[in-house]
Amino acid sequence: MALTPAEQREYDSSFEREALPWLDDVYRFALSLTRNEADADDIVQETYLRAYRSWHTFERGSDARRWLFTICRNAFLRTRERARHQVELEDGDVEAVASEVAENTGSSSGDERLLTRLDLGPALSDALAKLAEPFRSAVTLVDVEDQSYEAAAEILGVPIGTVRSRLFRGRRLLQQMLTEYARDAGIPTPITPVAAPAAAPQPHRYP
Amino acid sequence: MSDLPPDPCAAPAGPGEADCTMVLQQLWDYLDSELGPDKMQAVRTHLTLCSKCYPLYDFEKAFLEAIADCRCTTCAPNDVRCHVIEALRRVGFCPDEQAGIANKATG
Repeated sequence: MALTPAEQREYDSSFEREALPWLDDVYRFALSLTRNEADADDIVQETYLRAYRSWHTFERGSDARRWLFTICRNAFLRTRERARHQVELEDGDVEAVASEVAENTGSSSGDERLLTRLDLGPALSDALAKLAEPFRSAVTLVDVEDQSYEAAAEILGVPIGTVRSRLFRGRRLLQQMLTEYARDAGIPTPITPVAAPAAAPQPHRYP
Repeated sequence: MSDLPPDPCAAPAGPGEADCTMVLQQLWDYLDSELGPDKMQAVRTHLTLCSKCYPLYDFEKAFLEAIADCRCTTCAPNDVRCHVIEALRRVGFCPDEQAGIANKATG
């Protein structure tokens, strides 16, 4: 059924007010999926076209950014052969990563100094761009775009456990890449958490 | 030092308390606020007292904050904004000239 002129104005106005302000966020997510600016441009256009046509189905008051991310992800999948870009992880991976974290207990005061010494912005952006799928989209959604595990799972169309698994693995891979970056920069201290020192520090209260 | 609380790593965790292994396994869930209230509190309490886990928490927190900062460094180029608005106009979208959100791209 065709909209009246007044309804059409409201349709466009609400779309402009609620959907368009997230263009930067959608672009970042599209870029994380495509790793190519021209492809990201196409995906963002496709996302907004689909969003505009479906705007009447958007539930007012719900999270427009999450809705746009989902459309963006679907638009991306349609332009790519899904199998080529997916690395399936076993459910047990999350436990393996958790064990790895547990093994790497101990002081990382050297790492804190390293974080201060390194200009992490360019290094991290570069590392994130190089991070393989499906880890990159999980890290981008949760760590850059501040989505919950549950929201990321819905956007990516996978179970929450898979999001955790991809996220944790992605973070570890990023830390490994930063370690290599530090090594290349001539900084010997590892950036990933190091093994516990032989002599444990004296207990004290932390802020 | 005698007025300081005991290091929780020095003794097994009691009922409702978190030990180092549990805290380290759940550290990222904690930093992402993805644990239930009881577990969040248990991890928070442990981190306040534990000299072994706190530096790792501090490191991971700084790491995640650094990733989050990437949000500020990447914005859609103006070309992309223009392409989106042009594509929308072609299918009938008519931006509000007063609000000017869409026109930011061409302005």
